[in-house]
Amino acid sequence: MSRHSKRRMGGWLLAAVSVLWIGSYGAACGEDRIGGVMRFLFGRGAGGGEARGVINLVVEDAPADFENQFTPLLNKLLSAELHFAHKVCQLNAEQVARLKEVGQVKVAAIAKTYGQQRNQHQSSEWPDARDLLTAAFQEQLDALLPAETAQRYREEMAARRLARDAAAREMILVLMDRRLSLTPEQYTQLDGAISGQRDASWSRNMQMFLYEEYAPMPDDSVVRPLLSDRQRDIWASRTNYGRISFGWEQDLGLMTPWGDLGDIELELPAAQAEPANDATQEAAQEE
Amino acid sequence: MSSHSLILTVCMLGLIAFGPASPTRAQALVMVGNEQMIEMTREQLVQNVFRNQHSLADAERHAASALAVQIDFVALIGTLRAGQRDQLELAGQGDIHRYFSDFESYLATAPTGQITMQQWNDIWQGLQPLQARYTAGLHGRDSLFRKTLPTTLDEDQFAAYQVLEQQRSRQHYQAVIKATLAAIDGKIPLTTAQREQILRLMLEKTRPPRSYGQSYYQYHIVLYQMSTIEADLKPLFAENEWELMQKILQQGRMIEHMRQRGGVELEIVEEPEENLIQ
Repeated sequence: MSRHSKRRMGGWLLAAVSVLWIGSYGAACGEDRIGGVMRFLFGRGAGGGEARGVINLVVEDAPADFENQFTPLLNKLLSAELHFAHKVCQLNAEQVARLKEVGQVKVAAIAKTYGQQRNQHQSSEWPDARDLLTAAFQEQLDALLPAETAQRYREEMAARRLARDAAAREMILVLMDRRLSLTPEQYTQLDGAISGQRDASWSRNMQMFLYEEYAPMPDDSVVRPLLSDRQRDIWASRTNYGRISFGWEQDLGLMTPWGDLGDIELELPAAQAEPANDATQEAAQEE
Repeated sequence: MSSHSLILTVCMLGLIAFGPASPTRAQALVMVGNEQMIEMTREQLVQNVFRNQHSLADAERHAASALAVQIDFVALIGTLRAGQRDQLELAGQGDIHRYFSDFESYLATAPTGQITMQQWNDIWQGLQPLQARYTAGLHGRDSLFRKTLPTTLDEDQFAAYQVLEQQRSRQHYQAVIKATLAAIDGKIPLTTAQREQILRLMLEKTRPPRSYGQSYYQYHIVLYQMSTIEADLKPLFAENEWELMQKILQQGRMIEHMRQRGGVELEIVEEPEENLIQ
């Protein structure tokens, strides 16, 4: 190797080491050097970095009798959602049993996935159990019921999601308004801006909005252009420690802020002579 | 590679591996005899209360900004005169001055240097109310600013301001109700009809609280309000749902019990909307 080449290589090596050294001194408080270097190079700290949004994960199949520590609460979710499906679609006993069977399989799969996710990701990033379960229900209802009835369930589920999103968005606005004394126009503008920045995890746990320092907030890029100079000053100096975990049960919306107060006992009508909403029965009658 | 470059590189690699760790914000803990002591400075006491504001000057500046946006909100009535603005500013500055005087007075009595954990707990007992007061805002119901409003504004102006505040209060209340319903939905999934009718009844038959008190009781307050119109709500639920809903409403009723025992500052007053602002 020529002297010139050696000097050039040495220069590059020195530059690389300098980058690493500067990055390590940019380490956040309490972080080790390797974490600091990783954060400098890739924006990711030793602890996994700040969670952004929900990771889409495929729920793995599991034996229907698979159980772990997540199963009891997931079974409570199953009961509540079975009740809802029955309430909306007026299911008969056979249809409820079919939905329950499908639900139990899905609960096993979700429990298995949560078990695998537990040590890898924050619980706010785990797949939404309610969405997965009710999607499985929808598939069955599409097959079991007249289209109009199945569509009613689809619309009610969509309305529930929208209501949760709206609740989260309006609580964010309340927290902002209490600090910034927004004008009615700003309120409307921010409502629209926040709607465009929806994060699915905002609406899973309403308890977050009871603790201003930990409540999710929209990006500065969305908020600042809509504020006055004085409001920007207050916004910039607010205390926000980032997302807090209330435990996986709360983070995933599987428990109320008031704890586990019991479950709804599913009440079915007495045994019916003819199923009320059986799509196959209707097709036979038409023939 | 020259020998100089190689030596420099090795030295830098060594610094990366074995150099001093990054500074942390953790307060230094030292053992003196068998007792754990904390190194506490005046600046740390300030930061414990004001968090993102690292100095008293910063905190005062932030308080002045908060006052300014409050006055900007009053100015939405459209007819606020310069002299009135000055009067409100003066009253608000009085609130700020009173608060920081209280804080400085307490700070003067708080020990600094090496203190015991018990001393730190005692200090925090005194600091926590000051922190809560600052976080809640310095121009609330009992402030000079609020008391000055009715006398500073003309009758028409004050009426216009009350309309603004009532709209805002109702907007906040509606949001808290919706969030409470979203929380209930996790246990008792609600149809669109149920949600809309509960919201309508709550806004028709109950009043927004004058103050939510501690923020973490907001949903309890809504449940308490729901319990006051229980007879209207019951027909909206199936029997098996109502059994569970009763248990949820009981959580709200506990607020009344906590008020009677004391220790919780919570104001839930059913008043006509025109008396909402005092």
